[in-house]
Amino acid sequence: MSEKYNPPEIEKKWRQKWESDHLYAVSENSDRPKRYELTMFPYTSGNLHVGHWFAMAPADVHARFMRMNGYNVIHPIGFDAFGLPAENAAIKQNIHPHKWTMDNVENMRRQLRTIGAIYDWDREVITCQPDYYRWT
Amino acid sequence: MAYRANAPANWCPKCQTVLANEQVTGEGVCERCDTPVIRKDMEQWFFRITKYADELMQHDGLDWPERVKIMQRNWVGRSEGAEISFDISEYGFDEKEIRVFTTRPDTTFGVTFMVLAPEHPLVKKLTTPECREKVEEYVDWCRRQSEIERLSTEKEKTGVFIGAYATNRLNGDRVPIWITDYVLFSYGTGAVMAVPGHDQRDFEMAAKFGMDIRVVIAPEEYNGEEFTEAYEEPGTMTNSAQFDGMPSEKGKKAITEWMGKEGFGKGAISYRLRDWLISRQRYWGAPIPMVYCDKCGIVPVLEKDLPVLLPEDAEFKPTGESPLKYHEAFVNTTCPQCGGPARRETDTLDTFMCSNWYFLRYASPKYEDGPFDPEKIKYWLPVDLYTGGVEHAVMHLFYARFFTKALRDIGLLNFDEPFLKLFNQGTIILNQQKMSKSRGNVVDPDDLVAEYGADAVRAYLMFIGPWEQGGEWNDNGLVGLSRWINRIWNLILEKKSGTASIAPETEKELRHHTHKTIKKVHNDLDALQFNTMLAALMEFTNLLGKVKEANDVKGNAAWQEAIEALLLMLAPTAPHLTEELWERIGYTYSIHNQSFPVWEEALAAADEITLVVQVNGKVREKLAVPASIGEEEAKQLAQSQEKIKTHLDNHEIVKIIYVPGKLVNIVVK
Repeated sequence: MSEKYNPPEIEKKWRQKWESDHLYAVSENSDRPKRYELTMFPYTSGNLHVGHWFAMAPADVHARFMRMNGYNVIHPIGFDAFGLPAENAAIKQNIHPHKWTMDNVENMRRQLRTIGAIYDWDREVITCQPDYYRWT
Repeated sequence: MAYRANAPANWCPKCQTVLANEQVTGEGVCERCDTPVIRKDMEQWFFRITKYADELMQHDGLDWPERVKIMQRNWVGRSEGAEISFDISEYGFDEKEIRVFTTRPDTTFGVTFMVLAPEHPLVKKLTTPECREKVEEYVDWCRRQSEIERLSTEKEKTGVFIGAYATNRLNGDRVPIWITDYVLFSYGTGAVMAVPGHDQRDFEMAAKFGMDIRVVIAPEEYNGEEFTEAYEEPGTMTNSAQFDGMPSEKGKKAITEWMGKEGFGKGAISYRLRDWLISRQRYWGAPIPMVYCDKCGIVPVLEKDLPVLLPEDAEFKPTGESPLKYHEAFVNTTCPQCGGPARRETDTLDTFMCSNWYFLRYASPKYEDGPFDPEKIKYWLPVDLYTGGVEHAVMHLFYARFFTKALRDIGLLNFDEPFLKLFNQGTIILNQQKMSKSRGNVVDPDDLVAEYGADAVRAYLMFIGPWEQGGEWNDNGLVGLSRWINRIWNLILEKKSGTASIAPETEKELRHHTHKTIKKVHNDLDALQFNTMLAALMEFTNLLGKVKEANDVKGNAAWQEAIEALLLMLAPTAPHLTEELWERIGYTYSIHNQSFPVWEEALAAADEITLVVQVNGKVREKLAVPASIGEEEAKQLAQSQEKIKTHLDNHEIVKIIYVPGKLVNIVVK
């Protein structure tokens, strides 16, 4: 037998390559028909669980399928970051809501990356950032 | 679109904060400190979402789940009926009438009293001196009730007579005016005509306080007996002057037309939907960009000065008032109009404001000259497929549609609907409960990814059940999927295989299954049916395993076609694994830039069966036919065979028995 299947190693390798190649970056300059597939962005509650994956992985599978069918597919991701849960958690843990939220974003980004989805991270949107909410 | 108004809110005097209806318990106390909650009028910002009520009820051309459309329509709560005027001119006030909305104008002759909301401004004016004390006491008591409690149909009816009367213009009756908590000032006109014969709440009220119960809609075969409960169904109009004998459904229209002519009322539409209150007295939200100037009044912050930054150094612990109020550097500013000293709005925006247009920002996330680049919006929007939980059916999906329509009307968007197709996935269950952080039954994906790989977790989640239903999480299920993925790894990379050279029939079968599977997987993916898609791929891998075990597959074109198709079909589900295998068997990077495989219909459909042809029960011929063959076709085919013909010559055919997929037996004599 040639070699055993070693998912952590393989998955990390390809994720890094896809990202450095911008394999899933999309732009309007394409002769393919556009296709916008959107999954509801998660609240920055801290940790993704497999329930989040259940929303995101199949959505990514479909987006990938459409990509293979010749569409110019945008399948973006971001974070819903304002609101009471952040404020209440921050009060309870005695840290600033901004820090609490951005720490969570950091962790959830890492987790979301492991899904191996075609998210174009250059398009990430976070609602509590001034460059976003100035337009709200 | 945005306006400022006074609105009653649930107020906890101890926490000094506004509470949502859901934060007030059934006993009318604050869920945090058990203090009785009162209703307090507060100046707040609103969005005029009601302007779009009718449009938001329409979902034309949208591929959405029916239940979401129904929930949104119910949320708007459009009802048709009539607005009817009751005369109070006898008191000599400026107000000569009380207007009510009703969906049952056909029952107007059955009005025996009127009810006003305790907050109705006419209550103070109309209350007679002898009733004053009781009325004031009751109004105070109502203020302490939450809206949920007030609207509860379960509880005992309460109310007081205010001493005044209104005249029903239809029949000249002077009916007493009461106040009761189940009429809310913020709904409709804040006044209700009470028809105890045909409205259960009014019936209970009348039964308790001794008002008349008048039958004006007769049920079928009604003999004039007293009602023991309100009759709310259609019937025949009675005690209704010239309308007597008319079916009540028809009467609705007739009575409305007549009232219109007489000037007593007119047809009207009422909505349950209320304007969207967007002010929040909390810290963690986007500041409302408004400034209060003593000279100029309320002035919006200039676009060039946006965003109004949320100061990080504010004391954010809830004190009841907006935390920003005590941040002097934030509050004190200059008026954008006159440059004089001014104060900032210190409430923040409802978080839904930020989360209901994010899908527009993705098109140009770094655009600095506006919320989005119009050219890019034109290219990417609207969203073709939106997936998410059904819990967002009303709030999020409703507000996002409202934003889209409002932005369209100021010329920023050129489409009417943001999400063309909506799909609600189901939920993952663990220990009989929806998986959630608050229930403490979450499964952390990090460890699973480290042990089994993301591809196995992805595949397992899609195999757990239909996507719209979800299913119960089970570690053994994941182990099973992980084994399957390992089998694919070995199937493709293992050099060892059988020794027989592939027979033409095997090759044919292989190609048939390859194309059949491509067709099935394509159609399932298209329809978001991931679990059956994976089942087809598993069946296909089993077949490939058997073929490889028996045969030397090396260099065989049908085998190569099958392997290539398998990887491409699996690429969306297991992107890492397939990329690795794709490279290892010598294809060029990346598999994710390949096209999805295409099936040949003839090969996909070529499922053949052996059809046995008998004459009088004796086997005379065996035919290879498509599995999809129909009865007539099979019978014709059997009779046209040369070998069969010889047995039929000079015989009369009595009957032909057909067993689908198996045989044709021709009975002759």
